[in-house]
Amino acid sequence: MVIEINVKDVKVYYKSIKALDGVSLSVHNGEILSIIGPNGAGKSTLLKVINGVLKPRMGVVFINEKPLEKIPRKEIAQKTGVVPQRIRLMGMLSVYDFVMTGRRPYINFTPSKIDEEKVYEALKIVDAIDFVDRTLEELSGGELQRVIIARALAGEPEVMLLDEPTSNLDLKYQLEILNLIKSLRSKGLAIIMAIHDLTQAYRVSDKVLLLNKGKVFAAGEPDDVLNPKTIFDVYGVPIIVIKDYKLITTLEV
Amino acid sequence: MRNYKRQKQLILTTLIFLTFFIIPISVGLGWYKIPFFDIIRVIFMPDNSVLSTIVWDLRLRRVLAAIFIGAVLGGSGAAMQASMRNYLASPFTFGLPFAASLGVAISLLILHGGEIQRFRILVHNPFIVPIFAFIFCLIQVFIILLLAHKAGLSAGALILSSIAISFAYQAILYLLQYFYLNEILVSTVIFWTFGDLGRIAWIELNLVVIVSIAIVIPYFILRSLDYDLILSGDELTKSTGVSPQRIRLETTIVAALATSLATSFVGVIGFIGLVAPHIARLVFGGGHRYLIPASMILGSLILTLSDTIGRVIIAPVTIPVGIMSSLIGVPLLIYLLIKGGMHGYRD
Repeated sequence: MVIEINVKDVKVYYKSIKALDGVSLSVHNGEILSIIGPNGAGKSTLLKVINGVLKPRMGVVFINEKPLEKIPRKEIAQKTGVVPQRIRLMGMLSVYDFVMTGRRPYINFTPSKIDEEKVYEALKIVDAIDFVDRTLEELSGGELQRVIIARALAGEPEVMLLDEPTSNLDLKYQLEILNLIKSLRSKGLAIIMAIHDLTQAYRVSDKVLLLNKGKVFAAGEPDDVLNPKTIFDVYGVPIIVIKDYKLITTLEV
Repeated sequence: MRNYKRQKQLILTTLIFLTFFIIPISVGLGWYKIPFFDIIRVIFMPDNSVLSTIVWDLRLRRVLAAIFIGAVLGGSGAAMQASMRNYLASPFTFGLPFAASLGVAISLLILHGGEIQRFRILVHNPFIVPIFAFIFCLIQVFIILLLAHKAGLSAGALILSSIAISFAYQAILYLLQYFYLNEILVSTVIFWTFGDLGRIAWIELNLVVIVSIAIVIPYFILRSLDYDLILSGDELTKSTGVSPQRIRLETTIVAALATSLATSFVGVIGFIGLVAPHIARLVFGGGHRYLIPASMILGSLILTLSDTIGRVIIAPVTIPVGIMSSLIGVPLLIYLLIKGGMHGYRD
């Protein structure tokens, strides 16, 4: 399984506001790319463009050198697993039913035995098999996040797109989710995630892309991007980087 | 965990059997009591006896109408609640029956599509009334879609405006009645709005059955997975390769087709479309694989039961099913809401 995502000079406007302005990136299988940047920098927008949900005004997204608009919607959905920042909770949907919706790109009429097996497989990966019959409303934050990831995995994606997968979780769950993401990388998935926590980005990423006001401010290996100067230029906050522990922290407060 | 699934399947199967079982029972009940086995015999081997006439010309038709109309209204409610992501969505709250009522009134009053004759409405041309009901339903659907897509209203605002528009339809209806002072015509309209299964003709019933089996029921069932998907948000739906707008549009049109047919032939039928899906959800949970068929079956059962009780309770006078179904469905729903205490229904 070889997959390569290339984003070339993408521009997105919301009315007259530039949400993304000439963003390029590339990721392949077995890599984690973290997109960091202040609120409103365009992280979520970029994920939507890669997923094909949002059409860029200019620029192209290539999956294995094929432009996104040439790939059928269904095939894009099969290749990508999306973990949104938040989902709506309504209708007392069971975990099983919710994870099954991740199989939708493969299902024409009604789920088959294979689809059911894939759902249980995905639940096993995220260790959520015990609450298969609970409703989403009954889950804790960490459990819900695992189930949302299971939903994406049920579609057997080659690329995972995660939007703030660890926000709103306590320390233990944050670790769990990050370890899960790392294990997906070793399974050969390409992973692109928007993330706020710089330490986490530092620890798990192979590449980091720093967005600021829709533009790529810095990109490259974590050590190149995550240094006090760049971070101060973008966030306006002085930080220190403790390389031995891969720890980034603010100086004040 | 498998037991849970099996339990749902068991309840659903039981309800389906119950629906088939209720047909001869409901046919047998009424002013003229008919023994169970005679009904079965006459259903499968009709003859020229009085018994056969009562079963075929009076009872069976309305029972079958209850089953099919209940099913499509219940299914429409469940599908609309999912596609709009709103518990209040139903053909009723979207004003479709009120639009249809106005259409029927116009066809009856202005175009002389029918008249009242000794306690029953005589429809001269069986197609002019449903066509008008359908056209007015389409107008309402068009308004809803315009408000949703052009004005960008949320589902909640959409329901609010639909309820407001329903009042406007009623106002126009009253206006028509005010100017067409002929009391026979006014009572025709009022009588029509009561919702009575007895007035459906075989040819109309056939149309309802064909549309239900060919379009409405399979469409809602095949969309089950998409309804599960759309509950979690439009963005997730899109990223899974499904267009939420398309689902909403198609669902609204199919539900409008079902509702307008039902409403134009039997009149306004209470809250079946709102009540049946909620009762189904409280029993079966939210997955539409079970919720859609369960809403349909519960719609059928509630409507059949209401019609039967309405026919028996003060026989020989029949209480219209529109009145009975609200009187039975609403307390049942409220009881389950209080008893169930499930997420989304209680703080």
